[in-house]
Amino acid sequence: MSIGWSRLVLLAAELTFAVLFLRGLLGYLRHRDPLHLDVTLVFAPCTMAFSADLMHQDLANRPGWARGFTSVALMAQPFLTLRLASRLRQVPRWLVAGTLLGFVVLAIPLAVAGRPLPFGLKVAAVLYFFSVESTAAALLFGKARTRTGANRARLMVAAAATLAFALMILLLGAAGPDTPALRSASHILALASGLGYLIAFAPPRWLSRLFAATAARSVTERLLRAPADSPEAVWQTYAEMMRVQTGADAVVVVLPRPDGPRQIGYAGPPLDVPDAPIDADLSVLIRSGLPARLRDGDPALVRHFGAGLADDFVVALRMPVPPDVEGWVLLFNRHRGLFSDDDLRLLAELGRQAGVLAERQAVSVLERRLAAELSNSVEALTRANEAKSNFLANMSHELRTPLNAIIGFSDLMRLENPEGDRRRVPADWVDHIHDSGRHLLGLINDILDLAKVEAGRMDLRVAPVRVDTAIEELLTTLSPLFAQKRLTVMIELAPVTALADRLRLRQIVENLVSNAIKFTPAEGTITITTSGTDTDVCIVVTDTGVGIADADAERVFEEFQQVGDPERRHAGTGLGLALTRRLVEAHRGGITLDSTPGQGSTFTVRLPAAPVTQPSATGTAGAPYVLLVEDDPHSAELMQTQLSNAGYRVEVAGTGESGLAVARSHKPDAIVLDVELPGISGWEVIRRLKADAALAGVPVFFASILDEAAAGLALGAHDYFVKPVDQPALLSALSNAIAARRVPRVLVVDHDDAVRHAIEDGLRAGGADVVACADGRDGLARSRTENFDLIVCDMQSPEADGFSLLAAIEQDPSGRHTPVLGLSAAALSERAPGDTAPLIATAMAGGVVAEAMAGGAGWDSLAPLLGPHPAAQHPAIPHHPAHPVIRRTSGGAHPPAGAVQLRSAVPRGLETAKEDQ
Amino acid sequence: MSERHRILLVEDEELNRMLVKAVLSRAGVDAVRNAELVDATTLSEARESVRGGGFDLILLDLNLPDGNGLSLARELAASEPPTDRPKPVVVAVTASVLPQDQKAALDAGCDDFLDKPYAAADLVATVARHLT
Repeated sequence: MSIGWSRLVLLAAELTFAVLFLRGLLGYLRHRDPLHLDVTLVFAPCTMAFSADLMHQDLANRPGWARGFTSVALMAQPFLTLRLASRLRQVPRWLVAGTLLGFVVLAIPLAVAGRPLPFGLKVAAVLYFFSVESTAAALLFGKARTRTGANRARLMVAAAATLAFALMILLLGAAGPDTPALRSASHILALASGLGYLIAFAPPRWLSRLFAATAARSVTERLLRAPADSPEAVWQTYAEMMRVQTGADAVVVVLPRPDGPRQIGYAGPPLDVPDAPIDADLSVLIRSGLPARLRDGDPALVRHFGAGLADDFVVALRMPVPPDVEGWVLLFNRHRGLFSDDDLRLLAELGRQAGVLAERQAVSVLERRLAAELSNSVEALTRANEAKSNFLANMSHELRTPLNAIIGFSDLMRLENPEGDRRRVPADWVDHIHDSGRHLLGLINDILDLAKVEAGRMDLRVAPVRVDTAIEELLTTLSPLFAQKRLTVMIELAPVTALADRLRLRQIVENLVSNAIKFTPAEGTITITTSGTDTDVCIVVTDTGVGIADADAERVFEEFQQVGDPERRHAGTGLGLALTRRLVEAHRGGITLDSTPGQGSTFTVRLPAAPVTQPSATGTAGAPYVLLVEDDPHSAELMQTQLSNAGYRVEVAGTGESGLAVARSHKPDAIVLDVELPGISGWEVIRRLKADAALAGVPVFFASILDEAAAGLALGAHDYFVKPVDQPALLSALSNAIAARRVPRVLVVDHDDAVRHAIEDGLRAGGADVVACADGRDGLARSRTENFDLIVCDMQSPEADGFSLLAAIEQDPSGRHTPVLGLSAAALSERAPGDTAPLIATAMAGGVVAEAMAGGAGWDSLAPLLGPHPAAQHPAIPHHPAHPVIRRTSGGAHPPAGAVQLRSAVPRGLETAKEDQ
Repeated sequence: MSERHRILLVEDEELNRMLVKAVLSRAGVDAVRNAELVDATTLSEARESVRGGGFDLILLDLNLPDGNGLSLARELAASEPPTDRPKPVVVAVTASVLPQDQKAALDAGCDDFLDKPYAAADLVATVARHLT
């Protein structure tokens, strides 16, 4: 009974081996997977033994050849098992080779030896079998320890099965006919081994599903529990879990992206892959679903993952990601894996969950970002709102302060007893009211400007502006303030041209200089310099004032901030520097502050430079302009050099005709004329010049080899020089003539008698020849028929306002472009929206300067421009002879000595603008 | 003639100091017209004057170069009167006229509040109200 039971166990064990053999064989035939072939071979000997057993129920009756064959086949099993282990992990080559040698050495005697086997051979065979099998078991066990999850379990079971097989042989060897118990035990071990192999290599569907389900649950749990704050983190977790569950060396998760499939998640040893789309065809790998060496797939894959992985086995799996995306999972293994593709596919299916999670993360990341943005916007709005409230509160405070004086003192005036229609009030009350009113106006103007810049509605009429000239003009206006505090002003003005709005440039510099004046103690020094590069123009205003601490350097540019020593707070709107910065920025420039408390501050304004244009004439803009009519190039060059060196701007004309044309278009200050010219002669040229009303006054100097002085002077020449010309004499004569001639003619158009008379008086006092018109139409008519150096007009004259006048001048066919000083009670852009604005723009572009003077700015501003006294008594800056500022560069070696005060103030700068065109 | 009242005028703007002097010196109320007016242009100067004592009224500008006038009002409210004289009445005179500014002034212990700009009559009336 016991033998029959034991035999049944053996048969069952052999049946399991047969099943394993057949599954392996079928798998190999279906997939041609070498691993399947290895498994098939391992179980082939046992299967043969099983077949032999079936054919010969009685072991004893087995024919000798069969016994021999079975023994040899069985002896091959340890080697085949070791070989399988070597497929799954690294096994020393000598071990495999030694095992094969041992098999060959033992197989031959086993095949030929009679039964029962000689004891020595039997012991050797059993020991060989046991040692190799247990080595294989140890190798599998070692491999199992490096793996995780179901993979580890299956490898453990395989190792245990191998060990059981080894023990089975050991028992079988020890067992004799008289020890049926040992034999039975060996049969049980054989069955255990067979079942173990079955579980490890060909698990039944339910078991494999159990494995997969456990793995899936584990992956899912980890995915859900992992602290993922981004879709990428979800995919990373998924890759790591796939690696754990499949036992792969490395796992790469690939998702399609707009620029191609990209590696989204990676788990494994550090890998140096390019951050670029994987430009490879995975379809071959995916279709096979089997491990293949990387180098057998698309070469692009090897290029992407590096040659180091070329010998690795890679399995590519489809990974469906909701809603309609298909990603891929790549499993890299240095050796073959044990899992069948079905199990792997199931794990790849988990990508669906990862995809859902990733999408959820993406949504939540987006939500978080939107929430953050929203919160930022709310914060910014709150801050803006607070800033606005503060601004309004500050503004209310700032407006009320001067209003308090205005209302208070005027209230007091009302309380004085009237004497008829008059009241006798203290004179200083009136001054207080006036000063406060002016302060209020400045404040309102600053606020309006600030609001305009803020709203992006500051219309800048950007044109090339000579910064040095503009600054000099401004300094003339500010000179009383310097004198008041006995400040020394140092200037170093390089002739630079910025692209700027002339009025705003003036405002910028005025704010900075006023600031410097305000904060510099009496007898301090203010330095103003200009410099330039091809792209930038720099204006630097340095004072020796109180200075500003670094911490406050940024705050000085904020509205209503006065920084520094509170004991020494200074009057001001608190808007000047804020506005200055905005104006500079509106010009696409920048302003910086460099300051040392107690030593002073330096403000540096950078404005874009005007592109350099090559002037046709030599010399400094603003210098007297001489036309040289000379056909001999050598003579012309010599004289041009001499005149240029003397500070004149020189235009050379080679013929009489072209000389006349230049004279008409450019109105030179003097003409140097040769007699013998190609075409019309010098005599004819001077005759025509004197016949032209516009040019009759231009002094003409002959320079000729002909000694015909009497004829020349008779024709109206100012002087006659015989070549070689006495250079100092010519220059002196030129200088005197130009100076003597320069009595500017000014046209004043204003319907208000009081205003017109005031301007007239001021200009006459300044030495100008004034033509005054009350009626705008008269003024227009006269501006067309006569030449003026300057037109002063009311921009809101009832009949013909300044705008019509500007338009008329712009269309003047003679192209005279007389500068216009516009008087207005409001900023031009305020009162002239729409159609007139482009007109001003064109007028400006044509070189006409329109000065908008806020009516409230009053006569204080105009008076220094006009100069209250004849210049003859005040050749430099009449009020402040000690004033070191105004170094006029325009005159050169021979400044226009006779230039009256008016000349050196108003029309000088205006004329410069005209000539700059 | 009763004792001259003493008024401390804390105000950094010169024009406003002149205005207050001009208005008070022309007031129709004797007590106001005859009051002795002492100037302070900064908070520290005002503190110094208050320490000397003897003021019946303080006209206090709040926006001072070296700080907010309210701190002086608070110090006064917290302090004990130095002599048998009552504490001076504090009138905040300021161009900060928002409701919260007024509330802050009264919370700090100011007794009254006068908005800038004020009419001459308002200033006289306010001063007269507290002096008589």
